[in-house]
Amino acid sequence: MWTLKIILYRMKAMLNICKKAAELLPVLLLASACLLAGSCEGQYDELPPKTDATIRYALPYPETPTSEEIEEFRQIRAEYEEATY
Amino acid sequence: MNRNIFIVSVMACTVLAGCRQYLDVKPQGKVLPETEEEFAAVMNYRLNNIESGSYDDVLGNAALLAQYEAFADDLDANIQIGNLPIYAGTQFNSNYGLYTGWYEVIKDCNIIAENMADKDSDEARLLLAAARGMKGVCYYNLLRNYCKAYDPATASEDPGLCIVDHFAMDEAPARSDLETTVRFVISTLKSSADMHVTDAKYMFTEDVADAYLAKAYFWGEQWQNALDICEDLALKYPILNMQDFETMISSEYEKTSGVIVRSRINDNSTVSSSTYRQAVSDIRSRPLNGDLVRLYSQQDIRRRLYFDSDRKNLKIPVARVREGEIYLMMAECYAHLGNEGEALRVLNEIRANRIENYVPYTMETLPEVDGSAVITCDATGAPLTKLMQAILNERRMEMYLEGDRWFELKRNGSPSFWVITDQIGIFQKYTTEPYMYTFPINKDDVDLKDYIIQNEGYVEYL
Repeated sequence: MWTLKIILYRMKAMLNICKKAAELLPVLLLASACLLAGSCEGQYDELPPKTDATIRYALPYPETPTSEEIEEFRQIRAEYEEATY
Repeated sequence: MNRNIFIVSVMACTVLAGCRQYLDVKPQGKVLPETEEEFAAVMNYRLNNIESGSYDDVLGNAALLAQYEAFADDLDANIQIGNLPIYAGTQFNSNYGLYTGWYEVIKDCNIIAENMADKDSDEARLLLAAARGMKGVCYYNLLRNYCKAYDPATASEDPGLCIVDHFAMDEAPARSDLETTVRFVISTLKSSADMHVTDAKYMFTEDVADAYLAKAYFWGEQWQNALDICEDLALKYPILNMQDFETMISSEYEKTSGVIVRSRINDNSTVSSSTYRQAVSDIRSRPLNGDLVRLYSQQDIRRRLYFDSDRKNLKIPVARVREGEIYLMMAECYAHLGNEGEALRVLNEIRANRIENYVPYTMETLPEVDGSAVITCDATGAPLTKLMQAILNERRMEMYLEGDRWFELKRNGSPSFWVITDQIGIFQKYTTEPYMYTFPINKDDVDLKDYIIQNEGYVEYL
């Protein structure tokens, strides 16, 4: 008798759960749809394409001038000093 | 019921938290103007920069002029380096701002032009002409800085610019050839000039477009086309007499007679004032080249207006297009077209308005060709004649400190020249090589798009 009562009680509980689940069904469906939509975020350029900013163009090295060029350089300076002082 | 509300709220929060984009009410760079007022605001932002001379990417500001003068030879780094770069070779990695700045202006102009093209109002017409004109000027600037000097023999193979003629966020076209680029610059400026706008509300009137169109034809060695426009402009902007010339050169803000367009017509920007003062100081830190100083006769008023007895600069650095340049282009066009008489007449007309008690040149009295000059050939590669040298020298004198000489060197043979420094007896020579006249294009563009090629001579290092 007790066993039967327990079985009936459990069946009733199961029925209640099913009833409540039916009530929750629209909510669950809505939540699933929202989650699905939320996970479908479009691909978006969140960051600009990367380039290696450490690589730059090499600057030319200065050269050693010839003695004629140094002489010409000295003349330019001497002419300036003579003309302005 | 309360539990349901709770569950729905939790789900909503989850979804909203997962979606970051809903916060982007106005995603940067993706909101386009719609009304004429909004398009006018875009244009006015650019015009304000020109008028204040602050972040002027279109006509150029004092800092940009100082940089061009530092690269060229009108100021002599052999005497004193001062606060300017020694030469162009130190600035390979510093000029990307110019490149991207001009393309940013072009982007704005494309947006305006596309949306104003179908509208009939006067405002739309003014905006359209200004957008086309400003875009043409930016492309002209890019052409001179980032493409080789024009050579008709190689122009169809030399790299031109990436031409972006309409607004597209993600478009990155390959570089066109130089011939196509020159044609595009000309057609863009012509489309503005053909609208015959005289209202200066948006600065870029028909005269401004025509002046840059003449400059573009001139750069592209289309001498007759350049001459035709210059002759028309010379009627409206005749060469100034000495008094008016002095007023124009000494004007810090005013767009005086003889000036077709200029930057910095107000001091509303603190950035502009500080940029300007720094540029003036930097330019004065390097004396004028002796060869240039000797070109000015003692009776030349430019000698008094341009530099002092220490050969330090006195001229106000202003980016502008004015009558002197138009006349100089006319003289050179006549010379290239073989009309030496007219070339000499125009040259004498300029000199008569700059030199007191001027005795006109004749073909016989023109100075001999200076074999030691930096420029040894003209724009076509031909050796200098006495007449052509006189025109180029006059241009050097007239256009001093207007950002012209660097491009004159480039246009006329891109010659090599050196600067030597003396650090307590240790001499070092820095040579401006022909490839340095053509700056490297934006490195990011080259890195990201395999098909966009860099200009010759630029080698990467880590």
